[in-house]
Amino acid sequence: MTPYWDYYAPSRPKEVKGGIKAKSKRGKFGENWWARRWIEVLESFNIGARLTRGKSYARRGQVLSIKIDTGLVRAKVQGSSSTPYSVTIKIRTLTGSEWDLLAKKLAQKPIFAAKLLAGEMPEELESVFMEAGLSLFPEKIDDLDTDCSCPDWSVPCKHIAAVYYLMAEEFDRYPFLLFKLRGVDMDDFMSVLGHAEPEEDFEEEPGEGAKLGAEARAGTESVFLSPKARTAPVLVLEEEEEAYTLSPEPLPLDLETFWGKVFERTEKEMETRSKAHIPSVPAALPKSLGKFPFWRGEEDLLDELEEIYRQASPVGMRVFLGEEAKAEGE
Amino acid sequence: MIILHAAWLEGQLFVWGESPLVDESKLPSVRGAVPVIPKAKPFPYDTGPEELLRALESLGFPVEVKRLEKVRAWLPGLGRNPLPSSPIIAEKPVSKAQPSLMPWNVIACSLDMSETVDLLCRVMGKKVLAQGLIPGNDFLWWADALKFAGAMAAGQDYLPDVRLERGEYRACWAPVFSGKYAGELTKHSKTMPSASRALQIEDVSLPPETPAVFVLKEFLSKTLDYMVRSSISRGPGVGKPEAKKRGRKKKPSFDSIHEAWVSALRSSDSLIYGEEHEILQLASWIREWQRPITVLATSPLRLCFRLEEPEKLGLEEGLEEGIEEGIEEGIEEGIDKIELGEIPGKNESPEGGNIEVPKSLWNVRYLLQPYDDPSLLIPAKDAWKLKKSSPLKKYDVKNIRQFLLTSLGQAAGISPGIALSLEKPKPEGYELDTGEAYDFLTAKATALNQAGFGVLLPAWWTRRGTKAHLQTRAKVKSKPTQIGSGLTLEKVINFDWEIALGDKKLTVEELEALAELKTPLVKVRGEWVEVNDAEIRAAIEFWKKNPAGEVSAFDIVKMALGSPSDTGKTGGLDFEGVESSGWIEELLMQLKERAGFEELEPPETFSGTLRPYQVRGYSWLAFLRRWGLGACLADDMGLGKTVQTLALVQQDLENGPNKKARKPVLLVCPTSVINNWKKEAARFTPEMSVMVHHGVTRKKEKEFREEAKKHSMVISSYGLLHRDIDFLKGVHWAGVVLDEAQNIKNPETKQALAARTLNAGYRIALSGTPVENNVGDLWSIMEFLNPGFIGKQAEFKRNFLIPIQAERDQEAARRLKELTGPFILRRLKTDKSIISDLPEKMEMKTYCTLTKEQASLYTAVVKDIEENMEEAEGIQRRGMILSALSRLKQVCNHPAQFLKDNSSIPDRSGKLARLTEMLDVIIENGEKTLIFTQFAEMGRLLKEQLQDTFGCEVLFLYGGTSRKQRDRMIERFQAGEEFLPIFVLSLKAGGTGLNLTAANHVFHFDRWWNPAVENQATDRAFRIGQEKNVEVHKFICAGTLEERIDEIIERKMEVAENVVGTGEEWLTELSNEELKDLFALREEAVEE
Repeated sequence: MTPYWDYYAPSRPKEVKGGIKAKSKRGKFGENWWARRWIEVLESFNIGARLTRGKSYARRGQVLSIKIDTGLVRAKVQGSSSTPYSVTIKIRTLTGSEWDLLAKKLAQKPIFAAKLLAGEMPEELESVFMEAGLSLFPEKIDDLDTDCSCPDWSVPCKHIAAVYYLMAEEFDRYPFLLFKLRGVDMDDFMSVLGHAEPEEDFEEEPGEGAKLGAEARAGTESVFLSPKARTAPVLVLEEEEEAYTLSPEPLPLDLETFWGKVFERTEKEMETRSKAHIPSVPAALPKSLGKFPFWRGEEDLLDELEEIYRQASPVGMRVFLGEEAKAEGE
Repeated sequence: MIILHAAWLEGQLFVWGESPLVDESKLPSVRGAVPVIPKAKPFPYDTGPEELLRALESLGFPVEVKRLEKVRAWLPGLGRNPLPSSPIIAEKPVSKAQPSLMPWNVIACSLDMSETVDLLCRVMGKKVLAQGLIPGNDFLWWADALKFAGAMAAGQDYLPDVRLERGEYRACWAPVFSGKYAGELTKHSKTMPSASRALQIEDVSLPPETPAVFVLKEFLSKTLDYMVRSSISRGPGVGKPEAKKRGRKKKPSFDSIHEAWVSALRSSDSLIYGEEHEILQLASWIREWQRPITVLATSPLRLCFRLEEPEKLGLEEGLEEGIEEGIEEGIEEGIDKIELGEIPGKNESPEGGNIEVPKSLWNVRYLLQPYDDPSLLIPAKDAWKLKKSSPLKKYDVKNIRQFLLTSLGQAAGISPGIALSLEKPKPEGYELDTGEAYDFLTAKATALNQAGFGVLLPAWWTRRGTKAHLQTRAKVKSKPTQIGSGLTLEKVINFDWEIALGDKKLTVEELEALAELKTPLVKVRGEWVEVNDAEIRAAIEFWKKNPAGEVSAFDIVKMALGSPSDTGKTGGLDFEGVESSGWIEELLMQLKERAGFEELEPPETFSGTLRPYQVRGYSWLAFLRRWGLGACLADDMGLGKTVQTLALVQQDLENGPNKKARKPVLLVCPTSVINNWKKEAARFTPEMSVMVHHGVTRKKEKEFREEAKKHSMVISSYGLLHRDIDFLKGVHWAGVVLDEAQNIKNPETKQALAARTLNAGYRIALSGTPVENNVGDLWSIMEFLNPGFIGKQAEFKRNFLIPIQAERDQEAARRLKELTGPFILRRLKTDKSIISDLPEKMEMKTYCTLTKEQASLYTAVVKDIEENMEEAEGIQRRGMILSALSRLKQVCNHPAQFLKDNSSIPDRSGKLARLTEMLDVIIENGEKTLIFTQFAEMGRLLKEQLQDTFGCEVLFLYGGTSRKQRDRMIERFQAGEEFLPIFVLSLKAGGTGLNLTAANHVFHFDRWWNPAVENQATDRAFRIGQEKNVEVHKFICAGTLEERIDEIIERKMEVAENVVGTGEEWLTELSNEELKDLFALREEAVEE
């Protein structure tokens, strides 16, 4: 018997521009095993048609924003009401000692750390968790605490489901988010790994991993990741100015240095000077970074960059060769 | 005269100028105490607004006055006095006091990014921008910095980003200073002249202190961002909506912050339209996205992969340098050997040529390489377990493991072998079989390298030039016919294709056997050789289709020298070259070695002696002409290109094909040397009839053709080559000779285009500059000499220019040399084989032409003298004659010297034009020059003019020079620490006593009657301590008094050097008729 509130005429959600649109256009969500496992957790809750609705919300871009902090996900989802609903998903984070235990196991196979750093999650990772008596994904309903401001009484509702699906796609791209969610960010993770393998003549500082883990969990509102990243925008954007006020470099007064020397370059110097080369594969640098997180642009960023990089190289080469003076007749 | 300076201020390049004072009294007085807080005054040497605007306009930047602004320049000064940047501006005051930094006001113009890039591109590699417009070293430094930015844009070392600029968020393309660029940035910023950051906005009272590295970084970021944006605005993506404008608001809105960012990355104003918190979040995501780069970029090390061969079996082959540890012991697992000789079919290789397939394993080792010491390669083991003694301790150890893991994780995505190695703790490398090793060499290495990792490959692979893989070659069998028996390059030649592996020639059967092995790397005679499966199949296929061919001997020559237009013929296989025998082999050898050809006797009627090397040069020209190939004779100035050319033309008239046909030779040269050619021809080849095609009265069209036919040689100028090309190209020339062929180095110029359309039996280019080193200039000259030989211009740019100039590709440089070398002969005065042929002192006369203005002044003076001569007598007559002499000489030197009116200098004197051309070559060759004149005012004029032309200080010594100054000048000139290539001296003050052996060129700009005086002056350079051969250039205006003086000197020399005495007095004894003859202007003197 379906509860009566499901008989409400299915309301159309308000149309959204520039929301986060799922990459998956049909069928399943999640390309990698870890993303699938995440979805499995959701689907084990047995919420029926809400799953399908959630999927279509995710695909239509009804989710406006997602913020992932340690143990906490907060999102805005545009439903049928005029103001978006607020969704929160809380997940139990692992304790410091649990992380320490894990780290010891992980150090045995550097591939785990290396792959994670490179944006991939090895499948055997789950078994490492299991060996340590832990689990990577939330297992029981108790591990999760979800909430939505919508009138639907079911938890999870379709709004939560939509966020859930989109997170799966993000895990695809950046599996470290899972760790983040479980209480450890990249920096913490690396230092945890570092301390698991003591250096010959460096003092080990026991329990720092735990400390870090705890700190991370205690992390308040954060856009993403580490405390450093939280202030990153402001810091980075002002970096340059700040740096030089710290180390002024007065003009040297030596007359030759002041006005510069006549530089007659020898062949040998020419050899070692910067060379210019147009790489055969365009945009290798941004491509090596992978997809941009939560990309909401119309076109794929990397495709767009490839085109731009390809066009810019010949201009750079002409400048290098000194040919980019105003073309005749211009 | 302006020295342009440029400094970075407030995110823009500011240009200002420094000029000599017009009025010396403007200098502030030296007296009085220096105020504690210096107050800015106008910089006395500031060029000022009008001149600055004019200078910018002459560079193609018309700028409005309102764009000029007053800025503060912090410059070194002494006491209250400013110090000029160069002695060209003013003499530096002699003082022992320490200079101090003082604020001055200068008028500067700020440039936008487009102007900055444009202007700096124009400046690259130039010492002078225009007559009297000299870029300061601080300005040139920026051009070099721009090159750096260009390299980063070309190499795609940048990422999209967001920055905060004056309270606004902007999208930007930000350079990524990782890897080699990190070192480059610091290195480059250390060379920054202080002047490049010496400007400050007016109301700041403190000197600029922004560190050089930040200034440079900002400049690079700005210019790189501009380059990327300008490529977008030109590219096909134009027309993409920058933003959808909605509602009444002007501010565009976007569906997402990402859209806004992408749009701002493309737009010209780069502003991001969005809420601040959104942008900040975007920025944090960008940071997150770029994180792996940041980890790698901030690391002081990089990860390197070194491929190591299996334990050595045969020949020891060294790996690339930098390898400091032994190769691990491998186990010899046995080798497959095929005796290719056993396969049915001939085995021509006498050594047998075993091909081995070793089965032991290869290794890839992980190493860490510090950027500050790239020769150091630290095994990954050290990072996993840090030892006390490890060099890694220098670096931030805590992050090294994260760095190593991040790097390996990235690399694992490229190579599964690396991924597999990460299954075990502390990986240090992994093993590969031969197939995998081949894959690493051919594919993975490049991919890893492009991803920013270091890759070290065995040397035999990295320098695999011609040997290490399958190649085709054409085997030509030609009869050992005596060259000269009617063979031409049009002759059709049969050849067979051959396929070779290393040195070993293969049969089809052997190729197929190789294919069976299915291993991409084999050892031939102990050396690894690549045998790519696809290549083998291609080879078999190609061979079955094209066992033999038939082409012209010309094509064989092209193939043998590696002409790019013929490499397509071998089905994608590397074309190694031509194996030949018989006369083709002989010809190829002669071409490549530029030796072994017949040495000719000098032509019968050649008057004068050719030095041994000149005989070789002239025979070489004849050898190439014999085969219908163009030649570039690029001997050092003074080695006699003219006589070698004249000998060649004369030889052709006497014995060559031209004996019967009687076609004229066209010689094109700069106007300033037309007379010189004519004189030299008259001297060395008196039998040759020479016609000068020049001047307003020159013959045209049909009349010209008929007249030309009557002569052996037609001399004309580059200007007329282009103007009269319509009928010049209608003549069948026996040959075309281009003197100073650098005049056609730019293939788009009218004279270059015209030169290529001429119809000629043979083509010769003459140049005193090292043409072979100027890759950019080579195409046009080669295309004139041997059309089609070095490929189309675009091909040339792709195959040679960019690889050589931008990528410093040695292999491409070698190929170009092989291709062009046979056609360029450049001998230096310092060559051992030449120097023994040369006298230690060579005296040469340079015949110059008067400009029209000079000619009319000359005529007027002569007329004036003739009128007065009749009446004058006694002392009056003597005085008048002496003054007339002096006036005529002045006219020959320069109208401005004669008129004494401070009028403009350029383009008014034939002598000055010729002097400038010759100095150009001398300076390019790094030699130094003395210029003597008997007129102090001419000396001063030369000093100023040459400073403006060459952008360097010119020393000038005359009667008014104090002894102290003189000694200082000589010391500076001789020391060679500064760039002082030219020393002008007045004959009286500098003609005796001084030791100036740093110079090996001596010019006598005007003539003195007494050769002893001239010789004494010449001996300033030609004396003990001189290590080079000295060249003496005596300037003579043909057809004028000067030529007559020269004749008298020659005659007197035969009698006795001191008969004439030291003065001009004896001239006054001449009769009026004799004097008239002496002064008269002959027609040849005048230029067009």
